Amino acid sequence: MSDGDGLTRFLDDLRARLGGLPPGEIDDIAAELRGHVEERLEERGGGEEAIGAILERLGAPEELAALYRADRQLERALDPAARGFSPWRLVAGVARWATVSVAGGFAFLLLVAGYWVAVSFCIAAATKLFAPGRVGLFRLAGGEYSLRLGLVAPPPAGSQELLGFWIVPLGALAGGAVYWVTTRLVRSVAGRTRRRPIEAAGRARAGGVHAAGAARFAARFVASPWFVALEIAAVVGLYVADARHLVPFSNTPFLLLLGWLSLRLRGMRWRDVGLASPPDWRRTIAIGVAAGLAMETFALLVTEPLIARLFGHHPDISDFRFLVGNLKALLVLQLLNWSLAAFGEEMVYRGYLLNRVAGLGRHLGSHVGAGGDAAPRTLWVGALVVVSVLFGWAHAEGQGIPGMAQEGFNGFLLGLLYLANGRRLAVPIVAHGVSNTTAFVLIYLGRYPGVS
Amino acid sequence: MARAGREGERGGGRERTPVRDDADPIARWEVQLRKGSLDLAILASLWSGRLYGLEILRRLESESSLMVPEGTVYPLLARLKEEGWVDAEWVEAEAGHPRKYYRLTAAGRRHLPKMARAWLRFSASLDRLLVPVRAEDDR
Repeated sequence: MSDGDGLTRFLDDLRARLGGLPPGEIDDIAAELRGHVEERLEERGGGEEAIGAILERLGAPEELAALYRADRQLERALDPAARGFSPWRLVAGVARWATVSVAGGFAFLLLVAGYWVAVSFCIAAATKLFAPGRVGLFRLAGGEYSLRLGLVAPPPAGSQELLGFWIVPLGALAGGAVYWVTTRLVRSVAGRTRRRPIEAAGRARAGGVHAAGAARFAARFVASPWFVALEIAAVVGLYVADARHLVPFSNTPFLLLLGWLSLRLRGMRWRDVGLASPPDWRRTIAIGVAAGLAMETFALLVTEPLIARLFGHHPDISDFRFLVGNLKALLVLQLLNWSLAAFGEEMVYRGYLLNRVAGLGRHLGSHVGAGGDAAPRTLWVGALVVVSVLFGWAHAEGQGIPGMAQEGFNGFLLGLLYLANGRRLAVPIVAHGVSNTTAFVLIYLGRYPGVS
Repeated sequence: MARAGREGERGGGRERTPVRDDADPIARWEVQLRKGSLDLAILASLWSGRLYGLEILRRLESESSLMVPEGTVYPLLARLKEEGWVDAEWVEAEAGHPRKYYRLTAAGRRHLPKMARAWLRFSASLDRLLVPVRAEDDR
């Protein structure tokens, strides 16, 4: 056996394990390590067992390869020349970036929002093929334009559809264009701050000393009023955009994203605001179902008649009229109900916003000297009212002022459920889902007031 | 268990010294400690001029008592290069193999003093914390 054998085997093994890196880089690494071993060998002399000892100090090939590859994941995701680009890898890479830097957070927001819009366009184009009546660019009676992707709801009455089947190629094209622009934009943003993300991603793992600078900046930013201002602006902006029909489908996914970002930047997770599997499933489901049924009963027997008397008419649920006797729609709606409404809205309104508003209230209180800690109950109730108004507002579209009042009240009840259950989300999630399910089933059966 | 399995697989080619897994807790903690500060040590060793990998290792060993696991230095250098703190170039040596020399970039040169300050702050505050512990230990 000649002297170089152990070394050659070692380097071959390492090369094989470095598979994902660019070939030039692998050659570079191998040459450098070969130089290291040869020079060490000259230093101490000896044959095969000396090489063995030197290699041993270098570590096993798999460990070396793991170290070399550790920080390349994001870099490869951002490298346009890297083979087999996948949007998923870009999202994963930027998501990791988002966990360690504010810039990454905004890049992530941009990326997901862009992809969401792109996917919406494509879904609209595809939907036209088998449900032509449900999709289109509508000119409303008032002369306003609205791009509707009414998967479950029919187009607004008295409107005129402008695109016809042109929406199929146009939608696909628009989807592709938005996708392309988003990808390029995020990559260029990430490329410009390239050193930062990689450094940051590396730091997140290694906990290196140079964590200090950027992390301190991020922490200072998050603690500053600017962060809160930006956050409030984002929430208000989303609401305004939604009111102008600029948000495809629903603003809940965006609020969810915003909530995730906000929590993440403040070093929290959804778990910290109550999203966790409950300690006792049976009890949680029992309470949730009971509360959901009670809520809907209360709505039907008390709020509904009250509102009807107050406003002279029922909450406008004409948007849901198509549901009567339509089993398929009922099932689709159930899917949306449990994902977007039950989980999504509870996470956003109770998990994120309620806690955030209460936290800000506490902060303000302690500044004004009102003794923020003195009246936690007042604080929570205040936050609950603010968030319930937002919750009602979110449901204003299509349900009118009475619908807003009713949803706001339901939001208040769900918030109380959240607070009463030790700020755990499981119960309000179940209650929200059950309450909506009950309402939808009643509409389906044609038994809901104001539907027939 | 997992470790035994892995060693079995490798078929006794290169067995590593069992520092990591079953050494006493102090040694294990020291390994972690060094790993976290190694990038600072490497950058510091490049402060006065360019060096190649083995020279960096030698400097770390001679000028500090940092017993560095050699394999970690090269990947770490690659990372520092990726992050833009150091630059690398191959230089043909008169005798034998070309060597890959590393030097601090301008960014690295600006960055290192900040790291040093952060480190000193950290170590000073830790020292303060340890005063009572050491006082009792000495007695």
